[in-house]
Amino acid sequence: MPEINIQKLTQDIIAAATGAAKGHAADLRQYVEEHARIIAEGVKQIASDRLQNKITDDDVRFAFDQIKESEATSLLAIQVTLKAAAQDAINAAISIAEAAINKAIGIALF
Amino acid sequence: MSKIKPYLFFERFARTPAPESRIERVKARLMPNENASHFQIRPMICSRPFIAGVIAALFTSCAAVFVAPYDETTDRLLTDLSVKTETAIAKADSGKLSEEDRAKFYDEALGTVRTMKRRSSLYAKNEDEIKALTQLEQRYVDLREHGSSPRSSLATGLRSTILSVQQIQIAKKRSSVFSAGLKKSGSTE
Repeated sequence: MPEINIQKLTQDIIAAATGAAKGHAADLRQYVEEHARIIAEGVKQIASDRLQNKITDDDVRFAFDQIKESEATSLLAIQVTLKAAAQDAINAAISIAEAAINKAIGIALF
Repeated sequence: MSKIKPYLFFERFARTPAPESRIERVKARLMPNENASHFQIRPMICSRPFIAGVIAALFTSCAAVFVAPYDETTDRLLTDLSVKTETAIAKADSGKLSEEDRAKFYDEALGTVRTMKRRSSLYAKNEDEIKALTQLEQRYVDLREHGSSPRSSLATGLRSTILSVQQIQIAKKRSSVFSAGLKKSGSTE
């Protein structure tokens, strides 16, 4: 019966978990950049529309309130992404541990 | 028993201590096939396959689930809503969105968001998405109640909220694809 190499198993688990979370990290970065771009363009558009009298002061206040309110949804999006990343990292680690047990006992239990 | 006088029977019955339970009585006797010798067979609970089985059950039963699974229909509805919203914003910016079109746009957008919310509530661990959709609904309601055209300057909050809900779908989709890959690799090993 082969022994379980703890050091190698630990390294494999870390590699699988970080690999699983990497994709989410890239998505999150992309989202934050796009979110910042939308806000920046929106602010520019608010200023431009106000200068051209296309919108009123009341509209400007409304637009900024809406941007502030939308930040709560942004927080939720980040939370879900982090939860999904944690879920994938943990499941990847469990999968590696399962494979190690299968190999050690010589029977495919999983 | 018929020969014993009734009062004697009841007296003897009253003096005899009642057994605590049926299990107690059975335990007191030695079973015919019971091994009373010094050497005992170790119970199955100590065997290696049993321990491995327990660990296996532990692993298979504790797969982490923090977010609801990806729902393609919700994602498709969101994409349609995003297209409709951007079309309405473009029309409003160029002054081509009539009062009637605006009212129709808000009604349809609210109908879509409410449908998505109802669908999302069918899944467990989906509270964050439901909250996000409630906030998206509020953005449309606020714009409609403000009574102005959904120009890009006024719809920045709405655009940002749509993007956040889209990010939720992307995270869930990536997670679902990853989980499917794990299951596939597990079954081929």
